[in-house]
Amino acid sequence: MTDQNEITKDTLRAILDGLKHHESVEKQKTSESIAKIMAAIQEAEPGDPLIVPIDKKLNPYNEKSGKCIVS
Amino acid sequence: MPPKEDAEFNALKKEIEALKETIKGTATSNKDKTLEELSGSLGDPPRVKLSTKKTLKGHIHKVNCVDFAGDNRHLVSASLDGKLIVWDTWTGNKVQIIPLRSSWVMSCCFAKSGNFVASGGMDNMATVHDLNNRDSSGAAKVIRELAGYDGFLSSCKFVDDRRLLTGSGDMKICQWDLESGKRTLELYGHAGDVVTLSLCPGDENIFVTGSVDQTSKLWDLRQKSFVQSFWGHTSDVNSVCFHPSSLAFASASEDKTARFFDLRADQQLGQYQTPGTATSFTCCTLSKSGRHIIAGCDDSTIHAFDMLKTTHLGSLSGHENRITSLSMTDSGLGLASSSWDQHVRIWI
Repeated sequence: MTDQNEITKDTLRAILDGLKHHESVEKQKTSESIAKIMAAIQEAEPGDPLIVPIDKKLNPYNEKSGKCIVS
Repeated sequence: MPPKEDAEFNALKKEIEALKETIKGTATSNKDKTLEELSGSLGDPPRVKLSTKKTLKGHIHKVNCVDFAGDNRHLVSASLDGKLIVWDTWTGNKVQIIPLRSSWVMSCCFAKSGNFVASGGMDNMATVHDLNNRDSSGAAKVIRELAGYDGFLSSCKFVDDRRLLTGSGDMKICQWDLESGKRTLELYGHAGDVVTLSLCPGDENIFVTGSVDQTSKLWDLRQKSFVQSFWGHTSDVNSVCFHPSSLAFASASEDKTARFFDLRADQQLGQYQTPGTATSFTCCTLSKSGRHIIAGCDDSTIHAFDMLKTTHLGSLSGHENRITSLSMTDSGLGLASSSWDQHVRIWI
């Protein structure tokens, strides 16, 4: 907690309101929720350049070869 | 204070602690499997061997923040030299230099559209510049100066071209309508400075914040109080980043750990530390698939972790001072970092 922020009763009421909502939120078992996160990641991995590197020629950060084609 | 008020204060604190214990108890009973158990059979991703493709030089003081636009190309940086610089990261060119009215800038952000940038800091204000309109001096025009904070502006994000979300040292989160210049929401629930916020990719009403109160909180703009609170860190949460799946988020802390929190299981799933001597993390981001957590440290290094197997995948060295901010392009192709060494680096 920062020294300059006084924790007032209003702050505590706001925290309590939040926690009441939090308690009422529907929760899942970790086996179920982790499986969903893993499935989402595995679906996205083919499009992630850190997993499947893209062709260097297609990477916009790589300088172009400098060749000009004059038609 | 008269005894009656003390009693109410203490009663509120007691009720809060009791509710926290109930919520934590439910989370513990829902922990039937761990991340390591379920990811054990997965193959390892490749080592992360990003290197500096470009060093963007131009600031003459600490750079505190960077943020990519939605075009995966333009980047805004904010420095204590009192300037925002808009960069074309593909060429390394400076597209615009925007002088700020206060040099004490701590945060900046780019609207996805690329039309606006916002910034703020110890001036206790958020300032929005229109990149498509110049003022008489030729700099991007200030279209909004948003005041009414009782603390420094620590973090900002555009929900869209019309709405800005901010986190501040007065413990609150504000939403502003930029067309009218009016504050449309003021959200309370943190017990310390709000220092970071991250928008949910899948739902524009949802976002997560981190605070010096050691918690991260999930919010819904349609609700006045937070939706969920996440405990685990033992010091300031310096940075949060929503997972691309919209089902989780990563956080980076002064407590020398980065962590991964699951929204639906309502708890921490993973914890990550620098190899060798543990170092405080100042910022974090996730890769495009969400398989990697990338976190910057106060010792000038950046580290990549396999989010699922919680293993270290690589270190990025090059900066010469504290890393202050990281931003990943939506394409996942470019990682930008800012540092107290006055530079911005682009890693590919």
